[in-house]
Amino acid sequence: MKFTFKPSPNYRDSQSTQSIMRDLTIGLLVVFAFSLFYYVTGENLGVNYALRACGLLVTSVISAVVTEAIYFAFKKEPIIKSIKGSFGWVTAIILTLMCPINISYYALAISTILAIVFGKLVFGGFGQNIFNPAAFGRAIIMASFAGSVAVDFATSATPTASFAASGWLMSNETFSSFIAQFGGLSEMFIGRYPGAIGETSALVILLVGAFLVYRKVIDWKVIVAYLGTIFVSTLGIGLVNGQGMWYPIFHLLTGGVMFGAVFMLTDPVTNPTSSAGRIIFGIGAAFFTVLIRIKGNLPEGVLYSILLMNMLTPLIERLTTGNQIKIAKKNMRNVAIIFVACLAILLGVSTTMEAKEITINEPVEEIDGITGTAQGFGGEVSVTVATDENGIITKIVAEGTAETPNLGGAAISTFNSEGFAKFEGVALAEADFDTLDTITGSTVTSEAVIEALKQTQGGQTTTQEVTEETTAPTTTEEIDGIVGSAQGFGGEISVTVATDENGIITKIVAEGANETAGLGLDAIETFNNEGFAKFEGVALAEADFDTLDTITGSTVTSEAVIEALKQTQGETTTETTAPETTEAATEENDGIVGTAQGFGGEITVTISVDENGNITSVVAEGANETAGLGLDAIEKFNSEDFTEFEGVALAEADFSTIDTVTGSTVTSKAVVEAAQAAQSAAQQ
Amino acid sequence: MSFLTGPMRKHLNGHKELTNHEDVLKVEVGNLVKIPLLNGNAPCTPCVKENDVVKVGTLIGERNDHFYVPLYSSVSGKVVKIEKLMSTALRPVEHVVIENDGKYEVERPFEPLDYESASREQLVDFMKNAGIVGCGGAGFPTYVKYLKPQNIDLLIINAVECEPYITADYKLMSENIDLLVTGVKALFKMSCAKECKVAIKVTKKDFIPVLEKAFANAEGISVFAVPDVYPMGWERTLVYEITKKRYDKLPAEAGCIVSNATTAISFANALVNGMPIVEKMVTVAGDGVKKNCNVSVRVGTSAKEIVAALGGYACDNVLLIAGGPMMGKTITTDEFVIGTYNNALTILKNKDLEALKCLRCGKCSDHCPAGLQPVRINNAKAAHDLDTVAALDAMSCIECGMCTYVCPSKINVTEGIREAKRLLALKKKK
Repeated sequence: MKFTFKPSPNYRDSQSTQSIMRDLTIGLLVVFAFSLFYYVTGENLGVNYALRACGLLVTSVISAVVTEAIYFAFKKEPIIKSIKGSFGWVTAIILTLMCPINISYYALAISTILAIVFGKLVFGGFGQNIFNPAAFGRAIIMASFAGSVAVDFATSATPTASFAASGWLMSNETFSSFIAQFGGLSEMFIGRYPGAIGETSALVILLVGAFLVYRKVIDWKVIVAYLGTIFVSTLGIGLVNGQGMWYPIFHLLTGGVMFGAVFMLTDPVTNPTSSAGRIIFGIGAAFFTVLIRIKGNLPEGVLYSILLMNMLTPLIERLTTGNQIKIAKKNMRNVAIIFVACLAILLGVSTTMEAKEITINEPVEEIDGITGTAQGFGGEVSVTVATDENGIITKIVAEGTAETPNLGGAAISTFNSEGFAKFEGVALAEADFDTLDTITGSTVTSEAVIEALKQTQGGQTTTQEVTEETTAPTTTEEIDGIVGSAQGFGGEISVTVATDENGIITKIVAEGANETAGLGLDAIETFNNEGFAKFEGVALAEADFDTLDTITGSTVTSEAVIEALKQTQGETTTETTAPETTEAATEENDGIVGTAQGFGGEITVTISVDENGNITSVVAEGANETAGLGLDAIEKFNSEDFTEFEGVALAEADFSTIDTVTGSTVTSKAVVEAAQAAQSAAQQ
Repeated sequence: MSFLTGPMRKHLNGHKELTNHEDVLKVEVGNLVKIPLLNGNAPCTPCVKENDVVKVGTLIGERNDHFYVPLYSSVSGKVVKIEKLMSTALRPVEHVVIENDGKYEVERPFEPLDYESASREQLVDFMKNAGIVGCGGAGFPTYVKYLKPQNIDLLIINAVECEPYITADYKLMSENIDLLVTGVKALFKMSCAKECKVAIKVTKKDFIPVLEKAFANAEGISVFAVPDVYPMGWERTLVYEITKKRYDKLPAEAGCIVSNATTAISFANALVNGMPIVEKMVTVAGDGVKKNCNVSVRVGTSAKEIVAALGGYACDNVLLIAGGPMMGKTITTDEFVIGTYNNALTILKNKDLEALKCLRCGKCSDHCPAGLQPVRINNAKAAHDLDTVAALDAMSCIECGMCTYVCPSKINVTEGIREAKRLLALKKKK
């Protein structure tokens, strides 16, 4: 008979760390299951999304477990037992749920390994780590693998990112159309909207959270302190900035708030151990979350708020040192002070918040009509104009998916919703699209829209004069001959007619780089390849250029070509060379002028030289550049950089040495280009 | 304020059903009866010598430091020797070994007293001479609490019995309801309190009406139901539950005196029958013993005799615990005997538990009834940072065992705190 000695108590709760982690794993998998359901049933998603989510989860879990196995083998610890007591898979699941669906497998695997090794094992393993390992891994992804995504898995803009772009402020009307994109607040609560794999469903996360609280796996106090502080502070911020009751609710539902509250902030290892400490922890995390959101450079603050509070945990522990009954008043006071201070700072900071315009990606209405396209800032901008049988505009819709969401994209939305309205009811042929109000800050897009609009008129055989220019580089055969020019659709069209000594046409080349691609440019090409052939062998003086077959849809260009051809008949004595570049350099009365396309429009640089060819002055001009950016840059060039070239021989001046101005790269480059254009023009 | 401190208590599975409804078994004491000369942790001096003849009620020992506690023989016979034997205090103490003649002749050490006619001072004196000690487990001499009651508003009769497995108080009360009423009334008189509350777990649904009926005619005495949580029977927890007051050292600071229900019954037995504590109700329970039930034994009956009467041990390797599983101590021999303040033997199968690393869940801090942060005390101790151990108020630990109980990583938290307390005490001595 053996009587064993063991110190009291000899009675244990049935709950164990293993059962806690098992419950947590089950909870996380329920959240994951909802995601699979969403991927399978969601619009524009499908089974391959669900399979990818599973693949990511498996990748991460295997990475975590294998990493730990190698580590324990290296440390000569029993591998299976140590892995069972290290719970690396929980980190892996949490990390996966925080990632977007299109994250690359290798990015997730590497960040999992780093999270396990540097987030946990180097601190001494489970229970010893300072940072939440999953948050640690997510931060690695944000810092290093933000662009490592699978392109065939499209992710649309998340509510958080879109709302963050608005500066976390929005008018009530804008919000209702904004939130409608995601199915409204109720749908956001349920969680069927784009976001991280496991962060979207507040409903499921809260249900799982309630289960875990009931099972005493997590502490409700952290969750309540965190969500409560976010609610109260954002309610206050909303009131200060005239937001509706939706504002705090949106803050709670969007991003990683719910997921962070239930699964990350409650991580016991990186939490203070006392109740008072955990309440302070929750309040502090809420403070940083909201602060980073409304004032930080990041769209979302949950992740870094967790990591920041992890760092503050030892301090909070120190603050709550003592017998909790005896220092209850002190704890209460500290909690109150911290809460009020956090609230005050957030409210104070929120008074300087500024709303920014954002795009609301409403589905673009598809209409039948004439379509014109032009080069915008980020890519092609197309405009479709619908007309009735009398040619009266009924509807105009612009589309430019490649435009910057908050600038060009916003401009296009504004045009669609407001700007185009004034053209409705006007005959397309007579519409003066130059009167479209351009959007400040989105000059390039605005002009591209106008250009595309005008193109639709060209398609309608309109004779309206167009002065807008585009840059479409073309290469044309260069020949010597008599040059004629005429105004085309997009700019000057020049035609060079080469003749032999007897005045017989040997070759005709037309050039009109500024003509619309697909229309005027095609016409010119057709003329060069086919149309002009019939004049070869004919005496220039006797050629009847009116017989040139005009191209349907490019009447203006065709007629300009004919006009230019006729000019060569009148000026048979002039021998010129065809211009080399499209950036025409013209010598004006007081200097040589070069132009280039800036950010907002054409930039001209005028170079004056003395009789020895030395520069006396260089002046840049670009009235369409953005005030405060491009305009300032030009002023800086005029007052500083260009003065250095005075007295230098124009032929030897190296304009490429001009320092570009940060933030105005496009303008800077255009100025340099224009100066170089002027220089090369002068050399000719 | 509990959201800042955690619940500071927890419902445990009490396993009370094991012994609640079993009849009390009377276990006879053997031929050699060993009575420990021990009160609480304090040794007592023997008043008899070898070959002295003693009867039931003969004074055989006294505690004579700053408190006075007499010890009486529970059998009649001849003193064989005075011997150092293992005790429930986890160390060998002197025992008076008596050869039991089996006659149980009685020699009343004092005459019964009518508490209604006696003065308060007479009652306190009587209590002191009767050797009435607290029957909650510590054996604190009860008369001390009643010496000079000042500003006492409330007398609390503690019938909570929050230790798992133990039902001895409940059994004793249900069998001696008249003695209980007498004892409580006498204590009430001695306490000079305005009110008396008999605290019992709300889960004792069948017994609460019995108590209420018994005290129906007693003015100022009422039954107070408390939640079924551990450690509800601890003075501080109980006083806070009833009065919402905290105190620094003694319940008197909160205007309270707390006495155990079994103490009240023992006192009443002395008052009515002129008998000191010579018999005890002891719960024997756990999966390490074949039959679970309450036994009525004479003081001096060994654990071995009791277990043998219940069919023996259920396995070869047991934890033999004097008391309940939370605060009771494991003893490595079953030769030890039941003293005046023992009320339970818990016998559990010895199962090995493997501890994981602490995950800092803070459950120990949340549930510590003393408001301590055991995890941090242990960490500070591990870092040899005794200043922090002191700042964390480790000395307020009552070793109730809650922190070890709740620890999901199965760490012996309480034992760590004990070590920390020892280190602090050592440092203080230096």
